[in-house]
Amino acid sequence: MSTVVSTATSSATPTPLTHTLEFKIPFENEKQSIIAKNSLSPDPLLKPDELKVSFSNDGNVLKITFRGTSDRMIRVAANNIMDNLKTVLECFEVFD
Amino acid sequence: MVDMDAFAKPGKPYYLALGMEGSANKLGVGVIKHHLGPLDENNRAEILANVRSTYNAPPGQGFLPRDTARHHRNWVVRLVEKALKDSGVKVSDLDCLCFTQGPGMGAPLQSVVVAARTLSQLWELPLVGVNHCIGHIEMGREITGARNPVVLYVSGGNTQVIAYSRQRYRIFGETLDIAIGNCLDRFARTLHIPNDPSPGYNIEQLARKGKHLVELPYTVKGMDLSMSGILEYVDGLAHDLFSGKKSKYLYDEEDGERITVEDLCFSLQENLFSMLVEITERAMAHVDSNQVLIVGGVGCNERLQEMMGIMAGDRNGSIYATDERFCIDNGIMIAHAGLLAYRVGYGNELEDTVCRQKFRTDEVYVKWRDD
Repeated sequence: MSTVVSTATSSATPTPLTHTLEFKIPFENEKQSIIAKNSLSPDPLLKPDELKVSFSNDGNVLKITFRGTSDRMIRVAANNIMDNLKTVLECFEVFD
Repeated sequence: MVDMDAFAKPGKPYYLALGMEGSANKLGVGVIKHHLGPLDENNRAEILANVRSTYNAPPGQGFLPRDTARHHRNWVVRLVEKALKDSGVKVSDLDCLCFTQGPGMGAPLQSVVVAARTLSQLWELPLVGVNHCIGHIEMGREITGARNPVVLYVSGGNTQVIAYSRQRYRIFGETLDIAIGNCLDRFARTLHIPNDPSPGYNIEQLARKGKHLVELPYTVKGMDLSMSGILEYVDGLAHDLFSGKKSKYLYDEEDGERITVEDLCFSLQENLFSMLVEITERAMAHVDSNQVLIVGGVGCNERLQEMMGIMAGDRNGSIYATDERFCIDNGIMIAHAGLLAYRVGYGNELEDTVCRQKFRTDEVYVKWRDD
């Protein structure tokens, strides 16, 4: 898995989503990548003004992009996604 | 009569559902079988598997959402494996996958629904979101055979008196603050007694040894109850007792003996359960029913069952209660209520599976009943 962290400052918008974090998670195949996306994406975020999370599939790779107002916001959301991802992976390991 | 088989698979004489529950500190998975046709005394649901893992906090502490969610994540896949093995059911023979959608604690609910979503896609099975309270009610009815009872739902997170009317389970009375199980659990924390197997069970054992009834506030408000003030009061008595105070309210009025922890447990139970009996009796009079069904974790308490039984007996009625396999949160009740809903056409799309901490019993349209 690869992660890219970038930080930018100064923006004119009222709630600038200045911080970003990107996960690229390779699965065994495209089916698993799509299932993971569908399992992780439905849950709404607690503060949608301060954090946006987007999911996209590229072949067997699931890309999750976090954009937030602070590193703290992103860390909480990213940790939660990682915890849930473990459950998804365990389901694949045992039942796929 | 509701058609319960409009969605049956052609040529298949039965339904199978797997249910996953994790709204509080119990994680449960169950597999249930229904045969075609409406359920009645000659066509009972069959329990093929019912496994559970409970997260217990150390004595003096309650379970926290984060730790509980971690427990559920650790166990959920293993528990599903175990339930499938116990039941001997093939995944390809299941009809639907049911999960608790609420009410409950957010993090534990969410940790389980993620597994449910993944498995439903892997196994190509429809998901059915179940209201936890409806799960208790339907499982209680199925196990005891009570047809149209007044339901007393008493657990760590809920305290409600419920009666069925025109396709809704309607709430006649409920707690205005904390749930009865929460009140007992928190008193157990004050006493520093173990949370294993459950704090309420340990209070019940102590209460059996109580001899003196200590007067506590009695707070029935119309059809509702309030319990936080009682907890505050009894907690205060316990602290005074432990700190060795000699106040006169720490001695029994009649024999002058010093009250004990056992006396406090006994008095707390007697007081809280009398309040429950009062509002339940009023609900029975209102809907003209003489059956009471007790569900939820506190429903295991034999003293509560005994007190409710005396009241129901006076009304020429009877009480229906189940043992800990079904009273305490479990996966089978979610499978059962979910399957009833599935059979009349309910199902959730993936984007529609978000769990809710608050999910009222009377929000659910009970399409599988029309009496």
